[in-house]
Amino acid sequence: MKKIVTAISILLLFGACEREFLAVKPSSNIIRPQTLEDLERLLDYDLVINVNGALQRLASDEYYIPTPQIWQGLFSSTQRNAYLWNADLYEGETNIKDWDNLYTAIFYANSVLEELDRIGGTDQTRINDIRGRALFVRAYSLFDLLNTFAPFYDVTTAATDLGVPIRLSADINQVEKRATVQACYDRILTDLNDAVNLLVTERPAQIRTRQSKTAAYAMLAKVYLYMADFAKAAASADACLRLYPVITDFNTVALDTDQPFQWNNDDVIYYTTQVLDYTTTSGVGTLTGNYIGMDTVLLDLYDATDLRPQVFFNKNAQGRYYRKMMFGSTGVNLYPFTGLASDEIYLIKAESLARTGNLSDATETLLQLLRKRFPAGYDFGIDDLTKNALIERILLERRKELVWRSTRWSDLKRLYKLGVDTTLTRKLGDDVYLLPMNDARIVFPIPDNEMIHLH
Amino acid sequence: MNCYKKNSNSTPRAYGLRFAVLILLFVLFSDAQAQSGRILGGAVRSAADGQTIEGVSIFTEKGREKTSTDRDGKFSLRVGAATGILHIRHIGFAEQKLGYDKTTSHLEINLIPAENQIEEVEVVSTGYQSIPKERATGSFVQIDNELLNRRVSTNIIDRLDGMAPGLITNLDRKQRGQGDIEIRGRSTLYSNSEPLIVLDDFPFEGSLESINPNDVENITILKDAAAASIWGVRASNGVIVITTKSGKQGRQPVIEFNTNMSLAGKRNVFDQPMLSSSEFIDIERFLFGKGRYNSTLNTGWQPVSPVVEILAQMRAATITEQDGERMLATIAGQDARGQYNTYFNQPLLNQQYNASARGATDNHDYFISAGMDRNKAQTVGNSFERWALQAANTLRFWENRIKLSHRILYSNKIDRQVASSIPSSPKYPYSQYIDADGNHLPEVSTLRLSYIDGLSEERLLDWQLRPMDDLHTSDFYSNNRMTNLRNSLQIEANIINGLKASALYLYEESYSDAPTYYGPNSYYTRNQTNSFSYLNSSGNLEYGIPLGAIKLVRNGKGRNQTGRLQVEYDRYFGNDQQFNMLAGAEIRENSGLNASYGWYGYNEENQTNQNHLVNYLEPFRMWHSGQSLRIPTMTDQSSVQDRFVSYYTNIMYAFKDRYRLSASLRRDGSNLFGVDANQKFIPLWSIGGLWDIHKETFFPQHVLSKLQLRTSYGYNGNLNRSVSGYLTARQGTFTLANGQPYYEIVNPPNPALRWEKVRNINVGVDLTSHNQRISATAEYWQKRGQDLIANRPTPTQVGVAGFTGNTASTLSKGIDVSVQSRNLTGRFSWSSQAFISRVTNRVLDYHIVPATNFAIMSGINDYPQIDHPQFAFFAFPMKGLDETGDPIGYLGGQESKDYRAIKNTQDLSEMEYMGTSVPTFHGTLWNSFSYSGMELSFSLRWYAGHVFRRNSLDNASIYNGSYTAWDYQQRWQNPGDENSTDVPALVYPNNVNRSDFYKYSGLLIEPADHLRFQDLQFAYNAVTFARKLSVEQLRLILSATDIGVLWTRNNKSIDPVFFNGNTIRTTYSLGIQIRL
Repeated sequence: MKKIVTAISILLLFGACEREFLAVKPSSNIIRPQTLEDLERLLDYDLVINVNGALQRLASDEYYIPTPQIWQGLFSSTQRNAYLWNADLYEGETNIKDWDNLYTAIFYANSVLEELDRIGGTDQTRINDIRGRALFVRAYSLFDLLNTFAPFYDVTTAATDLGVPIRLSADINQVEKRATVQACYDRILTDLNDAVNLLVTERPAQIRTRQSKTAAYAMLAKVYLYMADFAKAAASADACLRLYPVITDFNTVALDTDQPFQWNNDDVIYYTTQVLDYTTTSGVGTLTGNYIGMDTVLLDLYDATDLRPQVFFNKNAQGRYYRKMMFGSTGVNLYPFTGLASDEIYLIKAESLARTGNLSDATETLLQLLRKRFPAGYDFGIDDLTKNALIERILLERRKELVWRSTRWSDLKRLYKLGVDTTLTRKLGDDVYLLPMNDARIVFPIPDNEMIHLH
Repeated sequence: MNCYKKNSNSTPRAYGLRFAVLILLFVLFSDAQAQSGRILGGAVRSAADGQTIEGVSIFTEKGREKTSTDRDGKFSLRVGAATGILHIRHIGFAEQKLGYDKTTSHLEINLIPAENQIEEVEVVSTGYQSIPKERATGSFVQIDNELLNRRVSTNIIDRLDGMAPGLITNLDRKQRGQGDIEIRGRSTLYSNSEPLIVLDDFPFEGSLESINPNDVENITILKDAAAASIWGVRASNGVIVITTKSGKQGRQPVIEFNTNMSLAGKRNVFDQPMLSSSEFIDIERFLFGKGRYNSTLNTGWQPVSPVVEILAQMRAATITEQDGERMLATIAGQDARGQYNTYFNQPLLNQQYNASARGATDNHDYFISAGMDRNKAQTVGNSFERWALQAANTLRFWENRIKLSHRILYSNKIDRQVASSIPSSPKYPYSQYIDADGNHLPEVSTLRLSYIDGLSEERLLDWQLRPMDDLHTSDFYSNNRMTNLRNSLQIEANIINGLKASALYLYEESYSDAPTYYGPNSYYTRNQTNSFSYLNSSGNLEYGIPLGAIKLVRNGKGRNQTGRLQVEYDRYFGNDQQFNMLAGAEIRENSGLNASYGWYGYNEENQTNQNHLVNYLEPFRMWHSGQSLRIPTMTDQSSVQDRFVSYYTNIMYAFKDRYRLSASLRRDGSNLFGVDANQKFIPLWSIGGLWDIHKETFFPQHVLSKLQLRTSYGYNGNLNRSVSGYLTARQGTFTLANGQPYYEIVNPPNPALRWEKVRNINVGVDLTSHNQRISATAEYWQKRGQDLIANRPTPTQVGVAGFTGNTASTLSKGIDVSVQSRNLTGRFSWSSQAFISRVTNRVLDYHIVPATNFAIMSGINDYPQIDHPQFAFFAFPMKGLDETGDPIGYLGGQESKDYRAIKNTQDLSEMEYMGTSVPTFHGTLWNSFSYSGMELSFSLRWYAGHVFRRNSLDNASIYNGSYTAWDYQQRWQNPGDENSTDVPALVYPNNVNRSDFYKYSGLLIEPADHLRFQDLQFAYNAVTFARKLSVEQLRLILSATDIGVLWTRNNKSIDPVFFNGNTIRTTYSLGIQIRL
């Protein structure tokens, strides 16, 4: 019996190294992030990180669906309802990417921030850059969620208007309620200002899906513009353009191709696309020409000598115009570019300067952009415009320049707050649909399956 | 002691060293075991057939010294007294007493079978230990060689269906989304549901096709906790223990040959009701008129059928109406089935050859076998070949005190596959593959035929897909060759009387090599080359992929090492008490490496490639669509590594040979969840009890010769390899936008993760009639799955769609009954065997995911509903049709045609629970007759208590180019039809909600109860002929398997297993067995 005890104790010794033996990871395909590079790769997952919602563009007045049959044939009811501004937007559909995908990006950002604390290290510059990138992603995504699912910023009501949940932790057991619009903006500004200080890269030479200091300034300019804080918007836009002032001259762009730009073209500061959904109305490339056409009222706004319509649009066999592959298009994916590019920053700077009364600088900023959009020597005739006329012109150019970039919907809401009223109109078959800007439908509903967690 | 290396490349040498150390320990340990007394040895045989008997109890007068015979019927017993009496006792045989004295050293004992004994004694193996079945408290079933050989198959597991109560093989696994085999239902939601397969003491992780069925001696099925929990975290789905043959003592070596040939008809590709060519063309014309193809035609390149092409040309007036109509009439006269069956289908032909030799000398047992299989599948070009060699040797030293066994198994199999461009069914009902002059015809693939004809670029390669070309050139091959080598070594030492120690080591390696070669003229290569061609700046065509062949190779390497140290102590205390204890430790590593690589511009003869010319990063613009794609790199590598460290013990205690208790305990550690999770000690254990009532003095022997009551309780575990306790990520190769490598988060951290556990309860009774003609077993069981790993829905704001954790539980219960009876004995004999099993299953706890009723019914197992079976069928109540041919449903208690609302409501009371898709009853009846060397047997298989969803008119698929058309003729066509049919009218455009409503309506749910004629076998022992040939035995076997359905409860005569059509063909086999 004693021998048995001895034998068993030897067997147990056998297990002394058990812990080490079992520490091996079960699959080479499973990675437990251990290095700073691992964290950077999490932030390089563009399908999650580099996206914006699609609803704002689906509901905007930049396109039309030719017939009720085509409308009926669209894949998802969300897509159909967004076009007609129906109050029951999702009709029971779940997995609304405008919400889900953007919160996934925030989860990645928070995970990176938490793993960064765990991994640490001595390369403080790189740690700062990663922290800056993650903070930027969190702010960028939260801002998009806010524009889709919350009332537009109004300084008088922002402290009580309900925004969206602010998530600062990756803990999946923690559920946040909706924060106020003001709290959301405060968080966005905090994260962006931190990011500006932390980010090391000014602007990546090639890989524009990566977050940078230039992008953080650009984003600040956009956020301040939406808050109607024009002085800060102008200053941020200026800081951005000082780092990176390049805009492509459309006189050098081939007009006869469907893909006039490469994915890393010069204008792009930060690359994002629409969420990968609603393919048929993504409106890029010849295929979508079978489903939609570019709004004819919009097309009529362009001057005959303007190079932009030729660069932006092409006509298909049915005589409808579709969007060519535009900024940052890889050609690999047919979803529209929704990121930050230098042209938008010029427009923000011009508008902000104009609204703060600096008309001459505003005019010059606008001209810096327009000269690259028209044949050389074109007379723009905007040197002596009044403040209001100049602002109006800048807004018109903004509409023509940023077409199909998911900015139109927010602009409509923003301008309504600034006193410009618009009523959108759709025709489908014999039916006419109207949407005034004071209508509740202007804010998209938070998906039902999500609302149950937010009360 | 040596520590295990942390890196993944622990060398065999390092292991070898460890084992050497351990073996040394045992030698030291067994050293000073000299004890007084001497050893009696011998062998026990059955007087009836001279075969040795395993598990025979041999004990001295007062039970002080006790042993049992080993696998070869041998025993050795150390006795203290110089003279005495040995008792030899074994179930089914009359007990014998033999005297011995000083001169006795070797005893040859012949046991005389008890009158009319039905069963030989079964020694069941758990993989760790062999126990006589009569002493086991748990639920074991053994299937012997004879029963297994009733069916002919390449894969041994295919022979198990219907062979044991509680075991079910899913004939049509896709239907239920479940695994191949289930023992006593299912006790997990999403984790592994397959039983553990143990081959000769060690878990078998390889391909089942590596095992030669002719080598199998028997199979033991472990069903409950007492039987299986020794396997710990692998045990919850039950365990199938396969024991292969070993040397057997006999007077002379036994040499056996056997061969068989199986035949089955061509695949039934056209069982499904299909539209005739002219009906299909009518639908195409109708859709064409509605503009259905306009967007497709507008692209110029998207594929359309030949009929639509003609219609488009007629509309564009590029051909005349008359010409067009004439062409359409020709097409309407074509039928794809004839050519398809001729050129792509063939009858199944399987051949199997096997030779083996087994025998023994005093201290050496051996078994050697070689087998070969050659199968021709029912698809032309597909075949399978296997070579398997096995050798097993056992050596005994030092008066049988040391036993050394070695077994080596080598197998090599090749799977040949036909080119992927060959259709699994015709694309159109009028498809033709060859014209009257023998020219190979193109089939519509990814591009429109007229677009290909119109391509002006001369340097583009021919872009047509001609299936007959790919079938009949040597331009394609896809061979999956797999080699498996399994070595096991066992050393067993009888240290002192009753104490045995053993060390076991398994080393198994497998290699697979699976090249797929697409020659320069194969469709695949031509299509890839053209797709990645482009015009350069001077307008000339250049190839992104260098001209030549494309070859893709997938290589795999697997290694499995297990080491085990075990002691077993077996001792009688006094006359009445027996104690048996087994304890051991096991270490195991199972690793695999998969690599794939590919070559462009490949030259088969010189084996050169031009990969260096390929630009993998730059997206190429497709000629036709304008979309850009990157050239696939075709390279990938990954490895897996599972490690386990386990400790186990099993204790049995018997009192007065009729009360037995058993207990087992096992602890597993693995690297699957991360080490922290393993540190949470979750022991898996069992206890069991057995009472041999018939051994009680009060028991009236003339009623029953055996009455045994058994019960057990305990926990088994289950694995889920897909989850981890840490935050983990997976690398993606290229991001869409920038071509950078990226990581995707797979698993948010979950430190609370743990094994799934299944609580088992088993109560059984075994009885045998007084005349030994009838024996029966009945068992009641319960399996409660706890801590089941399931996807817990989270608010999407957390950023992950669901969170996988231990959040669900299920309860399965059932009854297994088996009855064996010898109805007639004598010259003409008849015996029967019947199994009946009852299985029910219920989800007890699950975090309900909010879902529409439609989602619940269409996603089977996606939305388990509490208090319903896991695979529940729900349906929309449907009243019938209205006067326009629309189906009528219900909403809020009212008749309704608001199909969208009916589909999308989340009110569960709006749908009806129809039953489960898993049989709740199943059974087998087997009868065998024999007369003068002839044997006839057949088996019937019965399934009941479940339902299936039959196919009916699918409005969506008919307008989407499918020619499969269930209930097409029965559809509503004219007012008044609603009185005679429930099949709705076809509507255009298809209303998705209306189609979905009908597809998931209660009218289409049918009872699935049915009875199958499973197999029929005739065997003839040609005695006279054998004598002429001077062979010991010559046996001829004729058999038929999968004979058909004898009865179905649904009144539409639909086979509930193959309700999608494509029924399985009856296989006919002829076999010859010769024993020298």
